[in-house]
Amino acid sequence: MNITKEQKLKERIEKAKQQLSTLQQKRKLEIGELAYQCGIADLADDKLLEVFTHLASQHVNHS
Amino acid sequence: MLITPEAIKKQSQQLAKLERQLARLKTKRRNEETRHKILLGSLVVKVKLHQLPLDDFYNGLLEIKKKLENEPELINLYQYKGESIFMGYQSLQKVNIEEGISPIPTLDSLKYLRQQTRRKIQFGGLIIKANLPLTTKAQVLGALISLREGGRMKINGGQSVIDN
Repeated sequence: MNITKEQKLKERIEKAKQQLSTLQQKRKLEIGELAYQCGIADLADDKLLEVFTHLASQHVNHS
Repeated sequence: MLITPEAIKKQSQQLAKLERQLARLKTKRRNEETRHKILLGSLVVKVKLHQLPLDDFYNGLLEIKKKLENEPELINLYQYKGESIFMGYQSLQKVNIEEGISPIPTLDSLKYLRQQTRRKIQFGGLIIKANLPLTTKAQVLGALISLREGGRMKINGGQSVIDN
């Protein structure tokens, strides 16, 4: 009986992992979209990283 | 619709919750399996086969399995034998594996008892591994008695002897 329960839980975990992965992918796309809207999407990767690092230091610690 | 960081956090928490549930279920199952092995191992001690080397014991179980394939009606005999022990119609000489141990628990006696439990788990595990077509505790006990009495295996001063 426990094996069936375990199997069901494993299936639910797999589904939850897929959902989380989908959400994370969508969020990444949205962040890219926001970068376009802010006009920073054309920056080189290292500059873009600098911008985000700066933003992170300004906001993440205060959140 | 925008995906908020909160939604991702919530999904991560849901996943962690499910993983915790699975871990608990696995622990429960492992404990049940161990309990079952100890129960089967106790039957091995009851019929005094616990002094046998594990591989001899396992070979004996495989012989029983082969016998049962040829003569499935032996199960009834095993059931009868096992039941008569449980019901007290027949008696086995009581095996006290704790013999010689001080009634006051000492570190050594606890260590010894732990070893005996580990031994029971090993014997019980072999019974499960042999996958005998036996469904009741009485049948297993009966089969073990047959292994000891009618089988080719005998205990001789703690050593197993295979009769030819």
